[in-house]
Amino acid sequence: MKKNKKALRYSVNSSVIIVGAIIITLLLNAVLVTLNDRFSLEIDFTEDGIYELTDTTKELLDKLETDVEMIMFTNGTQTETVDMLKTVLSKYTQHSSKLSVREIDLVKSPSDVTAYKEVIEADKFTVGSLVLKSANKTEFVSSANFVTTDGYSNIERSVTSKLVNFVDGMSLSEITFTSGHGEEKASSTQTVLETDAYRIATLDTLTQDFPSDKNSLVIINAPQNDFSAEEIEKLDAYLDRGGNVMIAFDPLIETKLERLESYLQADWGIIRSNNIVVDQKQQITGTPYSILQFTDHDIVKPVKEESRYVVTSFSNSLEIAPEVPQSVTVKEVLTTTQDATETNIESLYGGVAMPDARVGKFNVMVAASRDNYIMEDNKTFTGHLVVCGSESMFNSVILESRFANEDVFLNAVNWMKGSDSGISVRIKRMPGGALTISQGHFWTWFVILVVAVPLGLLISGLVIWLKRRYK
Amino acid sequence: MKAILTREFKSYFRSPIGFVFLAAFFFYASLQFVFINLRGQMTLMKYFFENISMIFIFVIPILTMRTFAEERKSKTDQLLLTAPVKVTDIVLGKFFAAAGVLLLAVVATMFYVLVLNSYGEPVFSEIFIGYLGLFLMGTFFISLGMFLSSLTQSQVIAAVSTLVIVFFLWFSSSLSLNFAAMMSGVFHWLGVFLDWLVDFLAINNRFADFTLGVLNFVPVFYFVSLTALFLLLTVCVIEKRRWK
Amino acid sequence: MVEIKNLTKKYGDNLAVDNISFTVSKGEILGFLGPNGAGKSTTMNILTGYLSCTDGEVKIDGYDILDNPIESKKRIGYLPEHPPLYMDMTVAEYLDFVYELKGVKEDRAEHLGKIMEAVKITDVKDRLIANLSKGYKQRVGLAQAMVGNPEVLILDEPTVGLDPKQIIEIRDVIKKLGREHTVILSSHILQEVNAICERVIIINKGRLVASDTAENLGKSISNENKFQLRVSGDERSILDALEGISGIKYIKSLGRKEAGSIDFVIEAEPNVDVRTPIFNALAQNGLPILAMQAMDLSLEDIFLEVTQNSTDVNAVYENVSEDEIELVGSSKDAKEFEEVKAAEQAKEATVAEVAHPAEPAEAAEPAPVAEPAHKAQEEEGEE
Repeated sequence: MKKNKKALRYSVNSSVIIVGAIIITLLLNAVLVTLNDRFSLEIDFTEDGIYELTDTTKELLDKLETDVEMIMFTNGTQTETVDMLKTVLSKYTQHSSKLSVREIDLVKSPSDVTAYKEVIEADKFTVGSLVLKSANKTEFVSSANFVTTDGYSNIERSVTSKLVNFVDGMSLSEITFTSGHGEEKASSTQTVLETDAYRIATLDTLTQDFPSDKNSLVIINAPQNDFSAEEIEKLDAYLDRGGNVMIAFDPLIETKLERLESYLQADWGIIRSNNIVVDQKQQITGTPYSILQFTDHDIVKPVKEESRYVVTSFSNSLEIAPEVPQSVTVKEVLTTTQDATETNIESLYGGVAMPDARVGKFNVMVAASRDNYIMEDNKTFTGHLVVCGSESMFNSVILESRFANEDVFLNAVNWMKGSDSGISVRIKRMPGGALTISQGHFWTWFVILVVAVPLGLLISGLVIWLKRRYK
Repeated sequence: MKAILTREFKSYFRSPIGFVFLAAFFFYASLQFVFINLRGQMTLMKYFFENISMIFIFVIPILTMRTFAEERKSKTDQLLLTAPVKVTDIVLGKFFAAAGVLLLAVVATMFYVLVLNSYGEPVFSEIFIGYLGLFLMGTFFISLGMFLSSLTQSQVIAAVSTLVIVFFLWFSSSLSLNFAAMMSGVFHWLGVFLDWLVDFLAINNRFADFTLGVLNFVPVFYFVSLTALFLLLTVCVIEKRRWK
Repeated sequence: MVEIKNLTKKYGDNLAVDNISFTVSKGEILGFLGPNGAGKSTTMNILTGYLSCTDGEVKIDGYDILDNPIESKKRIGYLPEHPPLYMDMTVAEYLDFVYELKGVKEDRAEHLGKIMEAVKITDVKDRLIANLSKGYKQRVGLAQAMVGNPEVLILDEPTVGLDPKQIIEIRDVIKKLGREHTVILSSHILQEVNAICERVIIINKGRLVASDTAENLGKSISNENKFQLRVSGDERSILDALEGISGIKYIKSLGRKEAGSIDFVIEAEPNVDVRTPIFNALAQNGLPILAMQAMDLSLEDIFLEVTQNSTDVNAVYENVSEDEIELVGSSKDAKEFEEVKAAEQAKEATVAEVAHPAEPAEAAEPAPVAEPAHKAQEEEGEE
């Protein structure tokens, strides 16, 4: 027995080490994977922090008191969307212990999906779709527009806006659409706002009062009929107390909105011209849309930096009156180029040329703010007003994510309401961008990188080897 | 360790092996870069990383096949093992030498980022994560290859076995094996474990985490721990041979 | 300096080294003899820590090779049977690497320069090892062992493949090293061991069969009485003439070495001088003795004796039987005879004289050693 003691000791030791090391490695990895569900073990290096939750979401999660299970449907293959989704969802579970993620593999266990048949919207059900489920509520999150075709991530926005429904007493920031003047229904705009977790309300300005909350926002979308004097008064009072109003005109109506327009001109120094501006050189081929020019206003600044396009079809031009009330600041936000031409409905439909048609730069969107000191509150309120010469900018076009109209719209909302208001998760830019390279340069790099360098390496290897060989 | 590291590193470039490795890697990487990024006109390097990580399956064995198989064949291991150095140092020296060559290859491809920068606006931090993932995965393959090389005297066997195993690890997840469903009763837990293991060893999935532009410590630890494990196994194999 | 206790090594069920114990003191040169497969290399590999023993203990300067490998390995320079050379390096690069590997503290250029000088490889230091002749490779291997001035040098067949001149040089180097170092040297060249070593250990089939100074070993078995004879005439008549002389144990014919003459080895009973009767008998038959030479017991004989006695005789003896005669004829004491022979082979005089002794010594390894020596020289000549 004594004879092989040493050998035995060493071989037992090494066997123990091998088995132990394998077990420890597997165990530690498993533990880390579990830990990662609760604690953030990662650093987001993407430009837009697409895997970092915004403060809005974090605040929301802090208020979450019911347990919510996030059921993710996958099909076993690792797609980019699923990869991203998993990473983003892990951020949710890391932030709130109320949340948990469960994955249902549609290939391995297809029957599991039937339990959620009710809530799933079949036409929007794609790999990566989620069902959020608490004890008494379920919500469906479609993955269909998680990632937009032009490289933006909607994941956090989609998930957070549905999660809001699980937070007790969470009041979504409200955006009110006026009615009673033949306004457009603006369903696209409302969809955008809803995905961004706003609550939509409507307001009959004739019978109802304007919201009293200074963080509210009222949108007057393409009114066809004029406002009454009483309504104008209400509107003005609302703005006086720090209200926020967005007006988008329909350039194709023939009636003039006398009272509204004169109110804008007199009190805000914004003049709606009875015209239609067309910037033919900026028109995108095959579409009715022309590309607009940015000013350096805060509303368009982020979009300008990303060098994306904001477009409009026909638009009224908006002039800034030479005389503006002292408490008011008006600035251009979006304009045409110098080459835009003016026309009007008669000329457009009747072929009669517009007399004295101007050529030049026209404003399409302007933004104004007005300070008002109210004695009894001993406080200055700032009312915001954004006027847009074309409702088209924020209706049909808004969902076309290749254009930045949505961003401009949401930025305008944020500019008016102040950044700390409501639940608003910005769309996030996915990693990477475009580059432009000419055919010539492409082939140059091809020759250098694919041919010359590897060949050079091989040759130098051969030379060094041969040289040494005969040493 | 330093002596072995230096010798090994230089020896890659005394023979054509190091150059062949670099040339093969750079050729393939360039091809992917030129067509994915330049032809595809995008600064995003995610797809580039996903594609070139595959080449490791074929080029890493070039680096590792000789490490121990050759030493045993030419009996030079007698010099190393009778010198006053620890086996761990020998293994680490060889590992870092191979990792150094790998690093050289990876760093060389960073030139692509400069090319991208002159035609667009790549996000350096995102891309850096991809490179880190690439390097970490490469080092794991190296440790695996070294381990296999320590088991044999034949470079060919070492290279081929490395290739086959890495290839299997790479594609195992795509087989969509479902052991849990195949095994019932008492063996169910085994099936669950096997499923977990297959998922665990699916290197390409672990690597994918790096291509998202997120530095996640779970896959970092995954590669580092597996690298360490196989280095340890290599040490054990060599130690154990003395006792045979 | 080197202490080995109850060393045993098993490969599976195969006992390669069986309970060997010996010690080597500082400054001693120990010869390690044994036929192939005797366990020489295994023992040396265990001594140097390349292999681990199954049982027993190896201590170098008091440090156990298993428990304290780094300290004990620092004190060892090892030249394995097959020199551990990286073929893709030059000599200088290689020694530089070994210098770094062993973590030597001495001045690099001076230390390596001295070693290269000592084994005479300075002039090839920038050559690729792969392109060196076998002799040079062996010397580079020896140089490698000397790097760091280790207290113990363990040399496994250090002169294999060297040409005669080189052998003498290397032996001198080893002898010189032996003054300050402890040297353990294995060899199948018995003469070499005889020439260099103070003490000899003979192992066979993994067991230690003899351990003493070369002198004492000789004495202990020195009850033989042998000599060698060259007689002019034909074999039959010579043998007839010698028949009947009392005291002769056996006569063995070595065949024709010189035109018209036959060589014989004759062993007589101990303490019987048969030389006069032989002279008389041959003279009577008109068969002139051209040469007669007594043969003292040499290490070779001891080697054969102990290895035969210790184990299955045939295994060793079969291999040896033919060579034995050559071996005897070429031993140191047969120098005169050797010279005669050398004169005949005038063309290769220098080579044969020194290289030949190596050949018969290949007791259990019939592959001729003289040939590679030739080759080595030819190669070096071309370079």
